[in-house]
Amino acid sequence: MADAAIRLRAVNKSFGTKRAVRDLDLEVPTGSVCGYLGPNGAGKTTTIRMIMSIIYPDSGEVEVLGRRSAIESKDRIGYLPEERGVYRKMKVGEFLTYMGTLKGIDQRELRKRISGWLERVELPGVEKKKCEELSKGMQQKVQFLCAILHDPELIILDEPFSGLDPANARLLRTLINEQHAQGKTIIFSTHVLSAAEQVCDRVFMINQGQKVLDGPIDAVRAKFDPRTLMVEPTGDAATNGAAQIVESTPGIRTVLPSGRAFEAHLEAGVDPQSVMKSLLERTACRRVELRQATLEDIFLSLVSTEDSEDSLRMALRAEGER
Amino acid sequence: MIRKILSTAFREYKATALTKGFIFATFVLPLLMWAVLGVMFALGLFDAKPSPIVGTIGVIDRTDGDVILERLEARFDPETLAREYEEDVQAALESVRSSAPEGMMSEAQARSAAEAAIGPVPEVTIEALPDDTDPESRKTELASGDLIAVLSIDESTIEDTPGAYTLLKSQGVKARVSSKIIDAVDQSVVEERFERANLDLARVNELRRPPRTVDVTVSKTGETTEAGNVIEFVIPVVSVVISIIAIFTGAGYLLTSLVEEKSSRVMEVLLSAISPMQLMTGKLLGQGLVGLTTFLVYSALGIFAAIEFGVFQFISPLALALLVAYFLIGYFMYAALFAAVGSAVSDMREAQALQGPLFGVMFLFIYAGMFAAINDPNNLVSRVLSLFPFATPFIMPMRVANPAVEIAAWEIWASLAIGVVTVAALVWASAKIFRVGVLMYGKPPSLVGLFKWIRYA
Repeated sequence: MADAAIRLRAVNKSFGTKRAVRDLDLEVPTGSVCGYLGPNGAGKTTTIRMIMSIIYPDSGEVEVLGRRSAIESKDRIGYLPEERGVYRKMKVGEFLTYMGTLKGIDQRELRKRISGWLERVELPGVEKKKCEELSKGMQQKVQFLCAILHDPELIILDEPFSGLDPANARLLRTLINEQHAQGKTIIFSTHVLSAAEQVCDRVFMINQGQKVLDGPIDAVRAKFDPRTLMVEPTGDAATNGAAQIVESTPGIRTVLPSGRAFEAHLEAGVDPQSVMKSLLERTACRRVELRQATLEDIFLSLVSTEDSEDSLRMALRAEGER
Repeated sequence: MIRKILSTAFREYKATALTKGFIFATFVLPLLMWAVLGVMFALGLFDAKPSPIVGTIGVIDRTDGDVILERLEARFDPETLAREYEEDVQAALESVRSSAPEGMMSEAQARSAAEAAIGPVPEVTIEALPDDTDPESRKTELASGDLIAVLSIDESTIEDTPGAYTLLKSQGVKARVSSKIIDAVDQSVVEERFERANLDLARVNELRRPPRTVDVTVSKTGETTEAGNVIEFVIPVVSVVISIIAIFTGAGYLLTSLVEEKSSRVMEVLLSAISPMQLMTGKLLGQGLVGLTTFLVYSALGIFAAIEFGVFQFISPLALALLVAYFLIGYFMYAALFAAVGSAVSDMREAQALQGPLFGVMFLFIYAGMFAAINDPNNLVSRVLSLFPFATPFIMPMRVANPAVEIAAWEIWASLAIGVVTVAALVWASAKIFRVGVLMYGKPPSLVGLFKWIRYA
């Protein structure tokens, strides 16, 4: 077995004049869970489609499971596309059977697996229901089953968390962790960074078609200086003007409310210790904490210019909460 | 590889052919149509409901001895009318029995249908008016409907040839009623003339009956039928209708299912398991099977009808084989075209917009060729158009099915070759468009745009 489940070398892809992916090198080690991050339109889906040989790169090499093309190993790959649907008139059981048959599982085995998995994703007994009778979230779980039904070695999920409620998102994270524990290689794209943070052991980040970050998540975190302070003033923060006090502290660039506390983002190059000290001198605090760099911070520091950072941050939050 | 294609084909067939709608359209509809049409034609139900012949006719007969009046009274005598009516009903029943399949309707049903077709028994009263009556003086009674007609007949009506008489009728009198009256007067006058000349009218009528033609057509295999020229029209038309229905059923369902896969976004899920080529091949085969099902059902009905009417020997095995060949060519031609269209659009409305101009031009050629071929399968227009690839699968079966003419072998070979080459080219081009198109959403391309995709892929 190759040491890398997926390997991309100098891959380029353009649509008309738009360069969707530029000189992309990527290596997904076998057995890892990789998050593929990037804002909307960064080229994530394009990359994944090239990995799946649904579209082909203009130049560069793609190697999947040691083969030159995913077509040769489609049955060993599970794929949940970003644009996913079901046959609306088909029964759930029939749909899964059809997809399983296409993946080469034999009928008797298939029946067992389908009812087992449906129970596992909390959809027991929906085999006889038509797909159109399921809610969007339920359909998405059925589609996820399509991707893993044939017990693939490599699982590729494009935005698997979008559209799921928190309970189902947690279920999906558990399932991803389970698959990981079985030694499967998993790569999933998302722009919901908190989800990636909880499951990935490795992240890639892409922006405007170019890779901006690649590495094990701990190494990535270590590489980026902590640049955020959590400040929780005593008393009612909304009325006593604590926000203004925090904001006016030298070295702090922006302040965002976060529950009862504030997230204070530091200016580039300032020493966090001295800022914390002057904060405590200015206002009474229940808590002042130097936060570990989140993927969100890293993401934003990489993809945005200084002046649009805050609007992007807000936009990302809004997306994540949806 | 093969397994994936077959699974796809099977799903396509199952999702299309095993639906209530398809079964109804394919099996029940033609049977119903056939039964209804058969009965309606047999009974002449396409005419409007016959108007009843009821009322009083005033007759001013100035002939010596009122001979015409007497004859009219005899003709409109209730007993005579009842006897003639029964004869008409029997004749109608006879024609139903010969054209409708046996056991389709009971004797009582057939009789009531026949009676409905002929209308009720006429009820006519003849009122003799004095010789000096002025027909114009009866206008009020004609206007009120107390009289339906006033006849004014003179001695000269009989003696002059052809002679003349006056018929005044009220406005509401239908053509059927007035022609019945005119016919009665005409016959009475002619009978009277024969009697005065001492000639036997019955004998003369008998002698005047022309002999019946035994119109025998000898088929290429030497068998004969009395069906006559009908077969030269019906067999080709039935052949082309079967082709059109079967080809567009298969290709149409292909378009629908493809557009559904695209609009429901199930496409990429499928493409994670199979390649676009496998998907397209599977769909072509699956819906081809649907088209073939339709083709076989309709052909079986056609052959059954041909046997029933005793004209089966005029359908040559070659024509049948070619019908199948042209069906396959036609199906794959249009299915490839529809696959390209379906893969390029996001919903049915866009598909129709893209199809529209394509079809407008194509059907012009197809119809022109078909009408030319009905009249004369070997005329220049139909010969040229039957080599136009998109018209070939419709015009050629029509021409070869015509038992009256021989189509040159080179034309058949040429049309088959053109068909196969076109199918190959279209499937190739459509596969390219398909690969680009299946994952594209948004504004659909124009026809010109589609051609660009062929190079782009």
